[in-house]
Amino acid sequence: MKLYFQYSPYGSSNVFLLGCDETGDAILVDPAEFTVNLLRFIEKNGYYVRTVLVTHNHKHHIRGIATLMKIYEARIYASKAMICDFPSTVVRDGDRFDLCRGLDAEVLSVPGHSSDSLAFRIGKLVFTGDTLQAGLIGSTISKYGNALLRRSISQKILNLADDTILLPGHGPPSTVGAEKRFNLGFDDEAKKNRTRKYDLFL
Amino acid sequence: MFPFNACVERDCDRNSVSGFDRCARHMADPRVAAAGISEILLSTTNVKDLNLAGLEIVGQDLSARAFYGCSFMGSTLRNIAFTGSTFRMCFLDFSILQSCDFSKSDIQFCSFAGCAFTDCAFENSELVHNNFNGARIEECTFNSSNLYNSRFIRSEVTRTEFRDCDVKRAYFLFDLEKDVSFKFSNTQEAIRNVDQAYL
Repeated sequence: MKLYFQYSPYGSSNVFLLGCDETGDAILVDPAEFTVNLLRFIEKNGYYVRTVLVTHNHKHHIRGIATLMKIYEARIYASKAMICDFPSTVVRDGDRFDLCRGLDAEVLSVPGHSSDSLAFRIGKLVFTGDTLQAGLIGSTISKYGNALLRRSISQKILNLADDTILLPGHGPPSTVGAEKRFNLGFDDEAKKNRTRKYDLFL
Repeated sequence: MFPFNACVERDCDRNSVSGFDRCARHMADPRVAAAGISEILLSTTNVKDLNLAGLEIVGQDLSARAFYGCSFMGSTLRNIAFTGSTFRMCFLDFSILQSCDFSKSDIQFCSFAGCAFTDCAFENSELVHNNFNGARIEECTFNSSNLYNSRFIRSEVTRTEFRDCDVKRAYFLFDLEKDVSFKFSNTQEAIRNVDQAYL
């Protein structure tokens, strides 16, 4: 399995590509953009995009799907039935599905930033979308959302092994061990310093 | 990305070191693994998918190398020259780095969270999209480097220079700074309060 990262200036988002060398299947996570460079890279490595994982239905994480679907017949996994006007396979918390030979994904429902927010765990990689970034948690629009998000992160992500790798929708990567110790979202002093507590992100 | 082969020791959830069936903590003598991996590092310029978490490597010239998808988590690196090296998607969380030279390096999308840096040089480097959260940084230099979108949340920075750096969208939140210089750097474009982080 190979993992590649592309920074998308559109929304300062992270796009991830997982490539299975045995089968040539590729999995795209949150395609904010589908650029010519990304297409060239996929073709150069002999991959075919069969799967798209959508952590949540915000435009700066899915806009590339419209272009992508003109080129590849990919199956979209999300918690909404339609993504960018394409039908998706609706997944729920705890679902597991095969990605390619010997590789499966587990769905973690982590609502709070948006009601449909998911994280995908593939082995020791977790694609967290906007729920959890290095040092920060996702923004929410209510106190309830904030509490819900913190609880979901604690129960479903921070309970994983410390060396589990977190690949967020924005910003640099991290690990569970680092987030347990340094994330400001679980720091009451940091919360006090914030004046606009529940803004939407971007 | 480095393989996630579990350590064979019962109840251990760490990954085994590349080429071995155990993690560094459960090896009879991790120095044997460190010596073997040092040989690999010295013999190649493109280092891919290697897991050397928890090992101690001392006094090597690893300059002008490219590291892709490697794990150095919890490692100790002393007196290592990484000058002119490339790092992509590498994880060095909670490592100890002493007297390491990363000058003229290109380091992107890597995590150094919780690291303890002493006497390390990152001058004239591309340090874009990296995680330095919770790092203890003492007597280091980042002069003339690009730190765009890197994060120093809750880090402790002492006697360190960030002169003439691009710190646009670099997060310095709840960090402790003592004898730190940002002379000639665009500090007004750095993220200094939590509200800015969500804009």
